This record gives sequence, structure tokens and C-alpha cells, in this order.
Amino acid sequence: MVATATMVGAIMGLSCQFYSNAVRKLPLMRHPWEHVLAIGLGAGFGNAVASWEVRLQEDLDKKLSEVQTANNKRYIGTMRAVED
Amino acid sequence: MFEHDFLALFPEIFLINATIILLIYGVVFSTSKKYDYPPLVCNVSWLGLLSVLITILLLASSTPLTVANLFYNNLIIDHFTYFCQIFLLVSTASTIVMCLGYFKEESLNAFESIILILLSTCSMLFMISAYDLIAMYLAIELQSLCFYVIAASKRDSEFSTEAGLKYFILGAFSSGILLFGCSMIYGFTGVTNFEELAKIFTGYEITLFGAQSSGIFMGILFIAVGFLFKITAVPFHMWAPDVYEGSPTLVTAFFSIAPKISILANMVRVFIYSFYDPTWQQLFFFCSIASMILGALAAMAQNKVKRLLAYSSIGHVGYLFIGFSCGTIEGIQSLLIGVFIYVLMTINVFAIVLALRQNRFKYIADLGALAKTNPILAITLSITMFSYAGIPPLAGFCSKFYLFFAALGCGAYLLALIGVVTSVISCFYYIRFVKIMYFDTPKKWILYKPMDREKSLLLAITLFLISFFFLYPSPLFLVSHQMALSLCL
Repeated sequence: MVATATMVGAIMGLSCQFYSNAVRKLPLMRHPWEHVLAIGLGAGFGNAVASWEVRLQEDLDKKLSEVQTANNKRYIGTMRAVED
Repeated sequence: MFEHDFLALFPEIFLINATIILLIYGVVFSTSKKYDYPPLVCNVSWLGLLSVLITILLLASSTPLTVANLFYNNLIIDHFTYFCQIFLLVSTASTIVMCLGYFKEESLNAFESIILILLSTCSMLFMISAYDLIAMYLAIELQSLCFYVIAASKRDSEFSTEAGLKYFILGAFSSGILLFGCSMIYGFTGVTNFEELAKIFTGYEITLFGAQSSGIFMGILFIAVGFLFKITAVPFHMWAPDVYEGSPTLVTAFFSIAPKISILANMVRVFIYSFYDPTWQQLFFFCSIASMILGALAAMAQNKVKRLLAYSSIGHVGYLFIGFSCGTIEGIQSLLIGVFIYVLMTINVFAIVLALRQNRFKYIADLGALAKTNPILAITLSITMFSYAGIPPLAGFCSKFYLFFAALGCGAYLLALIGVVTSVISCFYYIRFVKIMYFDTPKKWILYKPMDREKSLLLAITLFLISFFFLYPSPLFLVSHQMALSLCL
């Protein structure tokens, strides 16, 4: 998961830098340190998004289970009372 | 208690202070004889961008609160406001990045434009977190006042002055209607707080006139009209093409991006949280259909790029209203996804327009030589236009797909059907860009100057997000689901 996020992020960062040079009609490898910076930023961003997604999923599951519990208490509790 | 309120509002307070300091810096130094009246617009732009980025960091570094009411229930902070505010700040930062080279190219020494953009961003932040009719009105009014001035910021241009005046007169009229609606609601219910209003409208609290009185209905109607005007929905769109065309391109970009986020966030809070009722739903159904049809048909007759983009924006408001008028969690979720993708596409297209602006690019026909002189920029514009048209697998298709799916889910089949038909019609004028670039013989050959680095990076990021959104949509889904839940539960 971490390796994939890092790799995809790094490729996206590098692609952005290539695109930026290409659209300005500069040689693709102009200022190579910018490419390294872009790869680093992309990898960091990829990892951050991946970990953020995991955290979001946990928060959402927690929220949905709270809602489910509240709904069950409200309706299923009432139905049982009627059956009794 | 008050101390915690100020702490929770620290990002907004920081941005306001930064704006005031930048204003003082600009006023003091630009009028200084000692420094030979220096043009400060570039410095102020970079410092403004830095302020917005720091505000984003301040906001993002704090853990989002589940829910917190501030200043005696006048403002609210929850997941919905948290993500909307971050999104708004990112889009403002993108707008400032777009304009970094603009002032130099246009020989426009107006650092006030950046100050006004920052000030209106502050008001939009407050608008997103408004939880009371008075707080909401004050935030909208501050935003509008900044917009009237910023539309007329190119003082030597007749078009810009006309746009500013037109916007001011019609905007003041709509603000009056909005305020009248708020006062009617207050007159008939005795409350201005959204939570109190929600209790009355759900029948939890009984008022003297009841929640179904005609006075309350008229109040809601007036508020809706005020909002529809601000967001350029049909039939209150008439000002938009003229103002968008007359304003400087940077201002047009800002008008098309940031207010859409804040006004839609506020509308969702007011109409879905407080006034939830099937009566106004019909009004938004009508506006959605009318905006989609007019946006698609009127844009076909346009030859100027900015006018076409104005009608495209009206059409997209119609699509976004599909999600809004559904009133379900899926509807809100699709609306939020739609706004995100719309903002991405608009940033991309305005970055291209601003990059070509230095060649006095005004008409669509001026794009004739682009594919020959700068093929990569032509491909980028083509991809964005395909995405606007909703061609799979680009982000625009995903946005429309979720919106239509939400409409089908709540039984609004007519909305989905008209949405599909107008999408097909709109392909005509979006794909016209591609035809002119690749298949027409250019009437005049323009050698486009290379763009600056900031714009090219902005273009790269938005282009990748538009092109590859379909591969990894889950983070946006999760965020929008959480935002919708925090609003509806």
C-alpha cells in the first residue's frame, strides 16, 4: 500500500514537471533538481492521501455504526414493546 | 467560553489580519516618494498567496470538530464547514497563482484587487460557517461589496466599469430581496437561528403562525430568489454574461470559482438543514431545468470565450442544482463531488485563457493556430472541453453520472432526462473548440508566448486530476459522504 502510493505519487510528480516544461516549450530535463523536488513532493502527497483515506474510512464507519445503533434503539425497541 | 470561540476562528482571524497588514503595506509604500512610487502588485500577490497557504495549514492542522457552535450560535464548525473552507481556500490560492503574471502583462498596477480577493475570501469563510440569518446576510453582503469593486477594478476600461455598475445595481437589488426574506422569516417565526428554524419547520416547536403560513412561504421564496441571483441560476442569470465578459479575466475566473463553493454550501445549510420542505424543492427543480436548457442553448450562439464560459457556468449551476433539489444524502454527496470537479475544470480552462491572454485572445476563432504552435496546450484544452461536455472517462463524466444517479434515486426522472439531453446539446459548443483548433484553417497566425511556470504547474495538476479522477475517486467519495452526513444527522 505504502510502496504503491509512493510510486504512483512520485510518477505523478515527475509527470507534472515534464508537462510543465513541455507546455512552456523547454527541454524536458531542464533544471533536473526541479524533477527531484517534484518526485519528492509527489511521493509525500501520495502517502498523505493514502493514509488520509484510511483515517476517513475509519471515521465514516464509526459514524455510520453510531447512526445504525441509534436507529435500532429507536425502532426495533418500539417493535419489541408492541410484540410483548 | 468566548476564548475558545476565538481560538476556533483563528484561521479566519489570521487571514483578516494578514489582509489588513497587506493593505497598509500597499497604501504606505505605493504612495511613497522616497521609493519612487513602486508598483507593488507582484509583492502583494505573492504575500497574499502566502497568507492563504498559511491559513490552509492552520485550518488543516487542527482536527475537525464533530460540531461546535460559536459566538452564541451565530457560527458553526463541523465536518461540512471544515472541508468546504479548505476547498475554498485552495481555489482562492489557485486564482492568485493564475494572476501572478497577469498584472504585469496587462500593465495593471492594482494591488487592491488582491486585497479585495482576500477580503472576499474571509467573508466567504464566514458565509460557509454562518448559522444564523443575520450572520449569513452580513457575510454575503461583505462578499458582494468586494465583488462590486473588483469587477470595476480596471478603471480605464469602459467594459469593466459597466460590469461593475451593472453588478452593483442588480446585486444590491438581490441583497434587498434576500434581506426582506430574512425579515419576513423573523417576523413570522421570531427566530433567526438555523437550528431554531429547523425545529419550527419540522414541527418540533409550534409558533403562532405555524410552519406552513403564507408569510413564511414568501420569506423562503425571497431568500431563494436572492440566492439564485448570487449563484447565476436561470431566471436570475441575466447579469452574469455581461459582468463576466466586462470584468478583467482574472476577476471572471474568481467569480466563476470561489462564490460557487461558498453560496452552494450556505444554500445547502439554509434549505436542506433549516427550511426542508417539498414546496421550495419544486422551485429548484424548475431553476435546474431552466439553467441546464438555457446554458446549453445560449452558449451555442457565442463567439467570445468569456461569454461562452459564462453560459457554461450557468449550465453547470443547473447540473449542480439536480443534486441540491434531490434533498437526499446522495444528492448532497453528488452536489459536493460536482462542485469539486467543476472548480477543477474551471481553474484549468481559466489558466489556459489567462496564459493566452497576452496575445489579446478574445474570440474562439483566435484559437485556430494553437494546435500547430503549441500542441500540448491544445491537447490540454481539448481534454478539459471533453470533460466539460461529460465524455467518459474524464472527471466531468463522473460528476454528471453521480448527479443523474442521485436524481434517479430520488425519483426525479425528468431532471435526469433533461440533464442527459442538455449534456448532448452542450457537446456541440464544447467540441467546437476542438474543431477550430484541429480542423479549421486559422484566419490569422498567432505565435503564442510561453506561459509562466506557476500557471504551467497549475495546469499540470488540474489536468492530471481531471484525466485520472476515475481511477481513484474513493477519497472524494469518503469526504463528501462525511460532509453530507454531518449536515443531515
